[in-house]
Amino acid sequence: MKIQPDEISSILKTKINDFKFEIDVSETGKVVQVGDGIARIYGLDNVMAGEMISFPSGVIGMALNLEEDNIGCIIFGETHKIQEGDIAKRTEKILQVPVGDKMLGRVVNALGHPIDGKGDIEADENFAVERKALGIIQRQPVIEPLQTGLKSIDSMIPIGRGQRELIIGDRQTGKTAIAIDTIINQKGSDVNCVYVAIGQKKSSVAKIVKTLEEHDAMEYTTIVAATASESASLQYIAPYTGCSIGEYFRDKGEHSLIIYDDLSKHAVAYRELSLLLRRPPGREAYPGDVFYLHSRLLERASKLNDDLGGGSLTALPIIETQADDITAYIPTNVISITDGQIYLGSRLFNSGIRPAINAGLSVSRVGGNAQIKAMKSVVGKLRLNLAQYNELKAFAKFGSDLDKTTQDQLRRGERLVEILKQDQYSPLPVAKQIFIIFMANEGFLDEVEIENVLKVEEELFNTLDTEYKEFMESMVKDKINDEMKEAMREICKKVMKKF
Amino acid sequence: MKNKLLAKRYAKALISNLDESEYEDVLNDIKLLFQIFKVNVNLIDTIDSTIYPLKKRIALSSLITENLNKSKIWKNLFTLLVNKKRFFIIFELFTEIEYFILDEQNKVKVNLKIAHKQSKDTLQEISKTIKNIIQKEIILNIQISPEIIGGFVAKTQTLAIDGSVKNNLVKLMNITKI
Repeated sequence: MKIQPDEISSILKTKINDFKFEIDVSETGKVVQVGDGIARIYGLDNVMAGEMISFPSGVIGMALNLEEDNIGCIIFGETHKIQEGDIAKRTEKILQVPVGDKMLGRVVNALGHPIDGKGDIEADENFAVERKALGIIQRQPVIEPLQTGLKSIDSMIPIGRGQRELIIGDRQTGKTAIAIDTIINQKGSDVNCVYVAIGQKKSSVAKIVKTLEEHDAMEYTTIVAATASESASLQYIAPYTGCSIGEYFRDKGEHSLIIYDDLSKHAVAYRELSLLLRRPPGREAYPGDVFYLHSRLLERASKLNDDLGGGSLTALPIIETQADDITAYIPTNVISITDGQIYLGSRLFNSGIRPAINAGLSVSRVGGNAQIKAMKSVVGKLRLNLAQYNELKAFAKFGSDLDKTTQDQLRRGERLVEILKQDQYSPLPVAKQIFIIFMANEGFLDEVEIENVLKVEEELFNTLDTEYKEFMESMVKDKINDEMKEAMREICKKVMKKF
Repeated sequence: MKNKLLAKRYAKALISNLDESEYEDVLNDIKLLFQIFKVNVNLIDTIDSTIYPLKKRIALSSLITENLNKSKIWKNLFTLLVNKKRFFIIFELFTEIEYFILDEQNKVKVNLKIAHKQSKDTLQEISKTIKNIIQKEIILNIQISPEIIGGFVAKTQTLAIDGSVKNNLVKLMNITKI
């Protein structure tokens, strides 16, 4: 669209005509001390907690500590631009970030400003970064499933829309991979995604953006990045910013998914700020309110009631453990806040089981209600079978003679483990997941060599794609009845004939 | 700037020990003390310097307070500051005490910047505007600053009132950006 010069001059004329000479009144204080991303300000007696404070160089800060004779303020930006004695002004506004549909497909910083070089974002609204979590009346139980596309999660640890499901594990166990797969699987669904990168390398964030672009997932995703090179203040605020962006869609009656990658680094950033603000350190030097830091963030994930549009915000926080220790301070905090956890074991990962989900330690407390009926009727004793297999596997190592039942259980378990393996960036439609689990549970794979299990799976999916598309669509609509089960058995037999 | 925080605490303590009837005397004392320390530039450093014996430094600080209205209060305060090695905050302390007393009397000191010399009527008009905003009696300290182009800028310790042409031109510039 081209704008004519006449139009520009008329716009300018109107703006100049409408301009009113005003007297600006603002409460001011003086910077007493500045450094390490923190400023202490004298004055500003009436400042609110969380209020934005502006400095002469255009840098913005946020009041965090309100003390008797000074305020402690965290600075979002270059600290060196602020000097001792500078005037700090109240803005009388709580820190806000732009939100809206145009945030999708963009990479923004912790303040919601674009950093992807694609120009400014025309925001629909501005939301406060710190918003109160909704009350009980405004919510309803988690009832709809959020498909991750991962067989082991959708079958054993189902996630519902509005749920908070923690992804926990050591470094290099595939935590981010699960999150990215989940985002990729939302393609074609009505779920908008927000990925919050906290304290990560810029190269890692760039890689994630590239992966999502390659899978056309950026169209419905916003990335909020507060990388390791950015100040602790920005890392602290980033998840709240991402949450506000996600809440915009939820409040509109849409569905959104937010991933906090990761909250361990977030807690570390908050510890840094708290110590610099001279708040008393507690366990592991974290401040006393580190639980509230995460609980108030994760409580914002919710499923709204129908009167409010029925939108949802599902949260997948990630926690990195040290040496598989899930009993450390921050992991136990977040485990207790969330509605379940997906525990990734480094041993499983190194033994080639990927996703390295430990079915025994993973749980979804509310997702069961949201799991689709078809999956529920097929999964049956999958968890139990796997648990029994793991138990027997330990005994089998002694090399003693095993009875037939035990041998059968081991054989079944090995095949179950094999079918739950899945490559990265290849989420599966739920119907296919149901079919392969059904096939394994019914014992069709028991006689197949372990190395051929994946080939059978591939053949099954090919057959389903080419010959049974309609059947697949109808299958996921309701509970699988006996008639349907018989039809499924026939398909399985047909596939098995090829091996 | 850290001195300001420190001075505020001492000022608060001093004010809590004063009676309202003593405020004027204290204000007059502060005026005098300001002059004494401004004229004798090295006096603060000397009193604060640990090179000299503590007793002599206390004696020197007490000497200054002898002819003041509230000599006992000042003497005690100065002795405390010398003992605590905090005599260097004396100017900030005077400013804070003055601020607290004026605040108690519903008055405030205002630094007023105007671009050019103005007539009495205009100044009265400006002070009336400021008074309406601050809702306190004001004590004006006028400065001429041509860089604000026109209008006025008034600053108190906690408030900035910007009615300058410069500020409005900046706002106009931001509005007309397309």
